[in-house]
Amino acid sequence: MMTGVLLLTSCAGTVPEPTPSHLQWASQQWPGTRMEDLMKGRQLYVLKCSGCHSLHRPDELSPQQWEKTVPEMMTRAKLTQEEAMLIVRYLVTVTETKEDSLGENASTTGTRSGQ
Amino acid sequence: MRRTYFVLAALLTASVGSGTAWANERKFAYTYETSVLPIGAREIELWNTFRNNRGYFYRRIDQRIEYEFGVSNNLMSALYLNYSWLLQDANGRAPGGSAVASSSLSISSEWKYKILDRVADPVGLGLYGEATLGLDEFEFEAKLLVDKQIGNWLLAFNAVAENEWESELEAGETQTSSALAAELDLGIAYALHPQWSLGLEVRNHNEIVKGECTHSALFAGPVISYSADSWWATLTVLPQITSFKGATNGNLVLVGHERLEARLLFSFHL
Repeated sequence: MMTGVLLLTSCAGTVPEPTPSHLQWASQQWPGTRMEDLMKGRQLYVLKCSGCHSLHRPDELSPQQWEKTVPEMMTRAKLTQEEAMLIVRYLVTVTETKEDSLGENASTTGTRSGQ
Repeated sequence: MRRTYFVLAALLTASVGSGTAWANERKFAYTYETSVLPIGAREIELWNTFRNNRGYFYRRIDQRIEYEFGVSNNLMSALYLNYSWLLQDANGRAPGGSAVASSSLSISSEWKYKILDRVADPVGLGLYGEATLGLDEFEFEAKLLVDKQIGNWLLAFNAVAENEWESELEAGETQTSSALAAELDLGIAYALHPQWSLGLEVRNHNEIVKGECTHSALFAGPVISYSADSWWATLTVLPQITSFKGATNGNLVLVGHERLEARLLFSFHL
């Protein structure tokens, strides 16, 4: 049983906490973004989205898919516009920065529009 | 034969949907997961547990109607109406060895609190409490819930403590007895498809009398689960495979337990 517990706890959470590199990227895309905004986005994603379905890892969808999917879930998840924006910015930031670190689909040029 | 395969393929294909599976669907019929209904969400869940054979003719169906609702983002509650039907060999107590039928009714209240999420956090963690009141019994059950989603695999573990107080009328006087049980439940399921999962459940039930374990029975069996947009169903078949202590029939504990039990859960969202 202890081996099983250790196995479970050795698998880290797959919805990462925001880091300074995340904030740096997000600030370039959405000037004025603070670490508190990214942390709030993660918290809202975990609290509001885990009730309807098992959480998806941020890298399961592309940034464009997150920007489309989260607004579609606003009614079901009872999200305000601001909450949806924070969730999208967190998910897009984590997904984009992971893609950048892997050297795949780098798309960090320019400032993102909309949310 | 070809037509059979075509029909099966058509059924499986028809079950493919783009709907979102709800987190509160249960992949296991006995082992609890940490997920909770979101605030404002409601479900009706129907339980059917079939129990068979205690070394003599014993058949019982336990049914529960559960109304579940989300209280907050991490807390859910439920109310149950429980009904049990029993048909058993009176084991010599009735003349001619005829079967005796009985039934019972009770109500339950359940509360489940999610502490950690099984995807976002290293491990899912939750607390569960349930109280049951019947005409001649009161029961309280507490569980520690642990689970983890790893890709298409779901693992869940429960540590359960349960105490039951039962009253009986004997010679015009009410006698109350108490029984303590400890249980460990383990479930492992693999998502074959967004709507289908297949797995295994293991259950170890222990009766404790005056601080000593008198019976310890081990059950294990397959579980299959299906979920659609607005409903889900889960079936576990759980034969008793051995005992660690207190065997009464070969290597099985058939006092308070049966050779076989099976549970079907069916739930739909309101």
